[in-house]
Amino acid sequence: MRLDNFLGHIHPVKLSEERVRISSTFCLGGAAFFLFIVLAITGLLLAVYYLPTAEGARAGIHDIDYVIPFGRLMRSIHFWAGQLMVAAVLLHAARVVAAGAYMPPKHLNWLVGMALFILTAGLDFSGYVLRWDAQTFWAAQVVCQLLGEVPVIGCGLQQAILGGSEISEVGPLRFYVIHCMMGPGLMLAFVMYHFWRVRRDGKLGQPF
Amino acid sequence: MDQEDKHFGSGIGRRKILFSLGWLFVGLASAGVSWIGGRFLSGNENLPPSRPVNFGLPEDHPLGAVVRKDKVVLFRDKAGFWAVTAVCTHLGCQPAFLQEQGIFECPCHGSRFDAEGRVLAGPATKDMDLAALRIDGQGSLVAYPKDKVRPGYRFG
Repeated sequence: MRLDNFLGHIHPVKLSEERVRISSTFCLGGAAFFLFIVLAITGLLLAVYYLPTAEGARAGIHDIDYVIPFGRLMRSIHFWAGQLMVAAVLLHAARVVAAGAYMPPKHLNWLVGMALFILTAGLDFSGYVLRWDAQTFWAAQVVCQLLGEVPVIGCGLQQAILGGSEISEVGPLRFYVIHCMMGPGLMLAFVMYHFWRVRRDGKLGQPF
Repeated sequence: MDQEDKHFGSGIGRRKILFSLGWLFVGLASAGVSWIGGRFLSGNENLPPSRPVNFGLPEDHPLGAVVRKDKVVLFRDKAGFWAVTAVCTHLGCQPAFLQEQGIFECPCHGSRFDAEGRVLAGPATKDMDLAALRIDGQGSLVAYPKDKVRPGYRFG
């Protein structure tokens, strides 16, 4: 079977019919990418009202929830799309493992996928921290201390994220920049490479 | 034309109808999402009322009266009537008039305004509008929020 339509371009050029039949694990990667687009759009809109300061974060979220029309809907869509994206990425990875698609020639793309999984988890966590209430403040504290324990790069990573050895009043701004700019930018670059490698490496794992 | 399409006979195939319905759905969904996004970006929905607000006969409101109706608050002092469009100029919430202190206070972020809508405390930076007042054909006092007047305005 030859795929010559637009959507088919993210698949290898030639595939057997069997490989593209609709199944229970079909298109989990596509679902994750769709959720990424939803998150980008709703996140862009939410960023208009969010204030990345210790006091402003709470006020901004209050406005989004109670003052702005459809604010609560927008924030709920962003939240649930984030949770679903983590689930979709995990299931996508599980399917790749079960299909043995992590082996050569697709081993490099498997590593890119793992990087995307770490980025997804990081974006999910940095978004959670943006609430900047007691719960998320201490969650950030614990995770950043754990990061500091990573051999060799841990300490530097912690410093780079927090702008110091401890969480301070610049915390919301740091996590805001990570969540809205660095993370999504890196993710988009990795996703593009991931898609290109899917097409280049050829073959698709046997669907279930 | 395939076998299924022949049932229609008119030349419009089932596939074509399904495609059209699909595009219609996509179009409606896109319009809906755009509308929601637009409303979200344009801030609070508590916009000033566009229709005139009828306060009834002027003699029904004694000296010192404060009457709230449809986001407009009518006042009366010795010099006459005036009406404030009680919509906060910060994010559009509806400030309450505190009788004892004689000021408006916004429940959302605490902006304060005097009885003529002038800002006393932020985060709002602009004064609230005063609506023009007129007597209609039935002799009722009517506020026109779209016709703005300056502080110090009195009617009657």
